[in-house]
Amino acid sequence: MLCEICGEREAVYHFLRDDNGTLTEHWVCRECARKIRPMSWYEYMEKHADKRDAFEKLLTGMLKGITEDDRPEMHVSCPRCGMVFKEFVQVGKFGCPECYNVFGPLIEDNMLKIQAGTRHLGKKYQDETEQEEIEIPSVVKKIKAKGKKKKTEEGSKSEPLSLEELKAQMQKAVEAEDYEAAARFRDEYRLRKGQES
Amino acid sequence: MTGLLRWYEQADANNGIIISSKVRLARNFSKYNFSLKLSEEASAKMIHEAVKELNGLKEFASFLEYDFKDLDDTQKIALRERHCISDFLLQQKQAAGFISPKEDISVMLNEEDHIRIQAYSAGNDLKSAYKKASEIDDVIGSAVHYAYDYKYGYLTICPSNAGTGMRASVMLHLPMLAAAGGIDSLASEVGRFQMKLKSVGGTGKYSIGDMYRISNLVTLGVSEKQILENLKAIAEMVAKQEAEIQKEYIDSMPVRARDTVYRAYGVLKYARSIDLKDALTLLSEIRFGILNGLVKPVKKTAAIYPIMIGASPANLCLEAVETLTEEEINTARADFIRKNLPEIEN
Ligand SMILES: [Zn+2]
Ligand SMILES: [Zn+2]
Repeated sequence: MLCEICGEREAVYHFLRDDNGTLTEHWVCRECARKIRPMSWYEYMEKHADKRDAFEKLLTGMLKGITEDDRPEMHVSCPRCGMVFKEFVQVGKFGCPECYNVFGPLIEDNMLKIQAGTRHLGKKYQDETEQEEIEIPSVVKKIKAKGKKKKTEEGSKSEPLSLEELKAQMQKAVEAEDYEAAARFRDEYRLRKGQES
Repeated sequence: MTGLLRWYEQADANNGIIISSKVRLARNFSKYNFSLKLSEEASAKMIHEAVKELNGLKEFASFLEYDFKDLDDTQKIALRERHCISDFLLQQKQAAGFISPKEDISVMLNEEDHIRIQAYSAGNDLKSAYKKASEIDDVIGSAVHYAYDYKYGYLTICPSNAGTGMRASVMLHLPMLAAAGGIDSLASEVGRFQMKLKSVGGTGKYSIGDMYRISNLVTLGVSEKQILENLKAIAEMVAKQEAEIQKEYIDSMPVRARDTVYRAYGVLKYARSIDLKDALTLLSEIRFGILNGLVKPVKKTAAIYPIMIGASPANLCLEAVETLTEEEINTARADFIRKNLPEIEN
C-alpha cells in the first residue's frame, strides 16, 4: 500500500486519528508520519477504553453467555465461602481457594481460551505431594452425598467412560448436588485428560 | 527514605530503551478466604498475621515496614509514583507492606490477593527480577501457608492469574514509535503473542513521557521460564524497532533532531512553572537526546528517569508542610527539575 500523503513511498505506519470527533484510519510512510502528529497512545486508549481490559473481561464475558441459559450449574455453590457460580460468572473472581475445586471443572473450556493450558507447569510449592494425595471431604458434602451413593457407584464400575461422558456425568452429579461424585468424575477427567496430552 | 541509590537511580537503568524489568507474584493464604469473601475484620487479622510472621524473618530486617494506618494520602500516592505500591493497594482502606532499602523489592499485603510480591531490576534483566521475587516468595511461603493446588498452581482470586501467579513486565521508553504512530500496530503485534502493551501513567491522566509496559497475559499452563523468555524476546524486538526509527530520524534530520533536544533543555532550564504533561514530554525528549549522543551531559552518570519520577505530583508534595495547589505544584515541579537537570556541554 502506498502512503496516503505523498503517494510515493510504501506505507508502513497504521494509526488512528481523531478528526473532529470521528476516528479515522491512516496509512502513511515513515517520512510523512513525522510531519503529522498522530494520536498519542494515551488518547488512543481513552477512545478504546472498553477494549483496554479486554483480556481480564474475556472470562466473565464468555461466561455471561451461559447465565442467560440459567442452567442448573448456576446454582452450584462453594461449601467453604458460599459463593454461587452465578456470582462468579458476573465478577470473574473466586471467593476462596476451595472455589477452584468446585467451579474449576465448570470453566475448564473457558480457561483454555485465556490460558495456555489448565495445568500448572511452573514453580512448585513445598508440600505439593501432600496436597495431591490427601483430600479431606467436607462434612457438608458427605451428608449431602449420602443416599445417592448407589447411583454413582454404578457409574464408576461400568466400562471406562469417554472424556465427553465423564464431563456429562460430572455435570449430572453437580445438578444432583452430589459433589462427592462430581469430584470423583472431575479427578478422573483430569487424570485422563492429562494422560491423553 | 534512605540515602542509598534506588534501583531506578542506578546508571544502568538509563542506558537503554528498556528501562526496567519487573516481576510480580500473586499469593494467598490457604486459611483465609480471598478478598471478595473476606470481611474487614478478617482482612485486618490476615494483615496482622502476615506482618507478624514476616517481621520475625531476618530477610526483612532491613526492609521499611509500613501500615496504611500511619500514612497520609500524599505519602501513599508518593509510594505509588515510585512504583513501590500498586494502584489497587492505593485504593485499599487497610493495607500494610514491606519495601527493600533500594525500593527494588516490595511485598504488599491485602492487595487484590493477600500477598503480592514485586521485584524490579534496572534495564533489560527479567532474570534477576525473577530471582529476587522468587527468593522472597520462598521465604514467605515457608513462614505462612499458601493456597496451592497441584493442578491450578498458586490459587489467586482471578483465574486469569492462577498457575504461576506471575505477571512479568518490562518498561520501555518509546518516543519515536509513539511519535510515528507505531504504538497502535505494536499493541496488536504484541497481543498476538498473548502479551499486553500498556502506557505507563503517572496519575492515570497522562502517559509518563512515552513510557510503555509490556507484560504477559497467560499465567497457567506455562512455566515461569517460558514466560520470561518470551517476554524478553518481544521486548528486545520492540526496542530494536525503536532504535532503528531513532537512528533513521536522526540520520535524516540531524539539525532538527538536535534542535528539539536543546529546545526542550532550554525550556526546562528556565521555566518557573510547568505542568506534568509538558515536563514529562520535554524530559522524554532530553532522555532521547542523551541516549543518542545529540547532547552530551558533563557527568556520565546523568539520569533523566529519576527526574521523571521526582516530578510527579505527590513526590513534589512530600516535603511541603501543607497541601499544595495545582499552581504551587507546577512551581515546585519547575524548581525541582531546574535543580536536578544534568548539566550538558554546549
Ligand atoms: Zn509519504
Ligand atoms: Zn469458595
